Amino acid sequence: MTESATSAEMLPGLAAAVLAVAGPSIGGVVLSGPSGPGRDAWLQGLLQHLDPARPWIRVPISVTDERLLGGLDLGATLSSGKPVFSSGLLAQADGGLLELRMAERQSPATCAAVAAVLDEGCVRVERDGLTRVEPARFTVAALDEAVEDDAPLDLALRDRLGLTIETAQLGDGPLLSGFDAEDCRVARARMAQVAVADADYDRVCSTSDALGISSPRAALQTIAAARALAALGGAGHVDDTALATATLLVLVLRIPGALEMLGAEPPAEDAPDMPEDAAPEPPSGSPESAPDAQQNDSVADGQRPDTVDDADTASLPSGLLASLAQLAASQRQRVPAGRAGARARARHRGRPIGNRAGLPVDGNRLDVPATLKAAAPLQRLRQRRATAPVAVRADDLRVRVFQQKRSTTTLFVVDASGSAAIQRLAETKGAVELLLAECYVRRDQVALIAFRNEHAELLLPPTRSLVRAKRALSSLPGGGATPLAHGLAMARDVSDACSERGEQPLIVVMTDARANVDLDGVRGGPDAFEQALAIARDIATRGHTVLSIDTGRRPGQRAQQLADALQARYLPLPFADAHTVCAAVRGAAA
Amino acid sequence: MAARKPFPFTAIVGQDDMKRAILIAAVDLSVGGVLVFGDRGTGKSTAVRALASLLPKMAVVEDCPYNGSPDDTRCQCAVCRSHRRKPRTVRQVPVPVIDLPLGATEDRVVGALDLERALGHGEKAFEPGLLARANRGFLYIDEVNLLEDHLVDLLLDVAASGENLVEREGLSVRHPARFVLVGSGNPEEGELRPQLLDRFGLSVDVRTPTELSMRVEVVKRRDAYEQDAVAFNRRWSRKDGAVRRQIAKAREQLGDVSVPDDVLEAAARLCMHLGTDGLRGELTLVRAARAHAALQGRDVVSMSHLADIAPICLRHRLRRNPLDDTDAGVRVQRAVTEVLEA
Repeated sequence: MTESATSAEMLPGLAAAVLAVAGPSIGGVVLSGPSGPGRDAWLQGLLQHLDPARPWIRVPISVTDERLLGGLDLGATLSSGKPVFSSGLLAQADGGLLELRMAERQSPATCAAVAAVLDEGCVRVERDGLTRVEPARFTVAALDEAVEDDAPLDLALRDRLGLTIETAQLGDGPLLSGFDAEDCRVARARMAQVAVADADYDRVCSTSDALGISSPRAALQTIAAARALAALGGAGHVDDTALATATLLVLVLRIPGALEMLGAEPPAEDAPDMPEDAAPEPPSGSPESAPDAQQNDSVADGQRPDTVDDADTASLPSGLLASLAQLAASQRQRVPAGRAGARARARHRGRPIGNRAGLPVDGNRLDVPATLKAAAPLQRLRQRRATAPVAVRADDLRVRVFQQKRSTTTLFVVDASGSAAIQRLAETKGAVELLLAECYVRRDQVALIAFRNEHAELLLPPTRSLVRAKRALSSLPGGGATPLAHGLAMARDVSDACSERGEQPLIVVMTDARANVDLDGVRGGPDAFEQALAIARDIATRGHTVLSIDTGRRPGQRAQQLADALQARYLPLPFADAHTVCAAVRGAAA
Repeated sequence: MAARKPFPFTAIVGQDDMKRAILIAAVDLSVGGVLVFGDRGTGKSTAVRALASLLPKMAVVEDCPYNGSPDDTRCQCAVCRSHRRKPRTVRQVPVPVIDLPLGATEDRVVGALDLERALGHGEKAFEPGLLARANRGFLYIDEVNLLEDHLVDLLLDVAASGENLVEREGLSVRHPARFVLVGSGNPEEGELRPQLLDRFGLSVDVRTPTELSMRVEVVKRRDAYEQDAVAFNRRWSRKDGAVRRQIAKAREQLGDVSVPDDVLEAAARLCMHLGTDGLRGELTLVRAARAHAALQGRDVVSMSHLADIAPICLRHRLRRNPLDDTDAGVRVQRAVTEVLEA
């Protein structure tokens, strides 16, 4: 296996060919990164690998269940006088491609519906008085534009999509794979006959394990990709090259930054025997990922010390694998935001509580079944005079009524610096957990920002998951300087994002307000406190409920000033324990 | 579209707790449902879908829309009523395992006015929904934590009363709706409401197998199934058949399995020790232990039967302590050791 894996610049093209061949058994592709010519060119390239006749269905961000799954077709129902079902986007995509736009912002319900169809190959519809099971075997292209703090693509859906392409790494030239639509068609027919050796399963699983990818789906997708590559090459069985390339495509590219790294560091020539200690240094990498990697070195080392050495992995240079594993470990530490927390609710959504008589204007949505049902019993009467198969009068029209429950997001902004005593942190953790236990009963959410030394950190993005919260809280460190302005600035951003999603933010600031780091990160900067006050005033203009808890040993003037700037309720709690804080927040929320 | 044959139950690698819980629910429907929560790709929905083929057939009155039993005189549907005094046609049918798909509307869940008859003939007639179809069988909800609140309320109400009461569009219908609720989901998507959690008799936490060899086996079997589902099912049909007979036999014997007093007492002590609310925990423990013993062909429930099933019966009934990170299953296990070995 001298030409080991394929060179990095070929990978995007091969990904398109593999997807065209093995589509439904790989699930699809996540195109992560901002929109741009590179992404468009890749999608165009994919199109050229597919049969031109295949459907290409785009799912917009605000898609309703009715459009997605299907439902009663009003026009046809009215003209034929019997219920007519109209297929949704999922069924229309059968045999083709389903493009999910702004995939990271799609609602969990939409993502779960797509995931269910990927599993079953059909759409099950129980809507508007109709029951249907329609075939839907398609390939998903999820356009994931999430940046830094955004909630990432729904994890359940992510797990089902085998390929990943980082669009920032794509050029806008034509996509080259060396195969065309005809090659792909032939390979598709041949793919089922491609044999996979028993040992290959072991190798794929070992590699997956070494990279810290535990879902068995990823291994299955790798096998499918290897079959597709072998079929494209006209081979009857999966060989080392096919397996290595499939591993790169499915497993390695899943690690953010991997494509760039592979491009920078072409795989070594005589890879398999390369001793471990000759491994290339982990790349200096992108500026953001470097500190992460550093910070988590110990974790990465401690977690899986020997796996990379021992595993008979899928034909990848072991040195390359080791550095990738390190990169993967550093990425894993970035706790993704909870999808439950990102449940966006537009105004016309929420809990449907029925329908009422009314005209479908001003954004009211016509409730078709209800309208027809209202009209139905009167048909016999009306038929005598009317000529239309179904006579619907304005009186019959029904519109949907939704109850929009504004959920509250309690945002803790916690001073984790040395001046706030370490024991405060323990109390704060306790308070957050107590509140969370309550919030979860009320289906509200909790988020946590901690600030210390030079920056603030969103330790817990808005969530109602106890599992996630516990994980975040256990990693809350203390000590160092007090960058109050950073903490408040982040609180402003997070609460703005909450408002945008239609949630009601409740901000709880816990600090002694002894700011000593300014926005430039200079310790002892003279403007540190003034800057904090300026941001506090800015937050006050939003009109959110804010609770400012003075955690100093004695109630201090600065904390009082901060509370005034925030127009917050001020609470000096020198001896606060978890239960007192919890009770105070409960009072503020009421 | 004819759905592909589901993945065989016995071909699922490991996940013993999950398999045990599903078997127990299949033997004694009164245990009250199974909740399967856990990692992605662990075969949660695979196991549930495999359940249908393991269940022995049941007798229903032909044409009864609610799967009415010939021995049940309470069914109020037109068919059962008119046949009450006459001999009825009885058919053996598979036990229903009904999917409640995401995005289902309320009218399809509870049943509503029959659109076709209303539109075509101007008649008011009731079209039964998913709850009617699930009567005497299983109702499966994948991604149960994404279920809309109003549907959750509705299910809770029906599950508690065993009866579906429809009052809408001028229809007034009441029909039996006794079903075993089976839910699956991922805890990262959010937690379940405590009221719904409480409706599940058994709760299982599934994890990705940590052993590489097991993971390899998972991947191999799944790949073989994807390549040729029919051949794969044929290969496992003998083992699946054995489980089917095991369930049928256990169901027959269930009534003869006795629960000694010391086991009953231990179950009560266990619940007290863990501070579970209400009697439901104890009741579930005893019923599940009995079904577990029946599955093993025993006619007396032993302490080890109780210990085997305690975690899946009680783990979701513990009072939540947000400051205690210990996995609930571990806490139950600890209590089992302390109580049963004391």
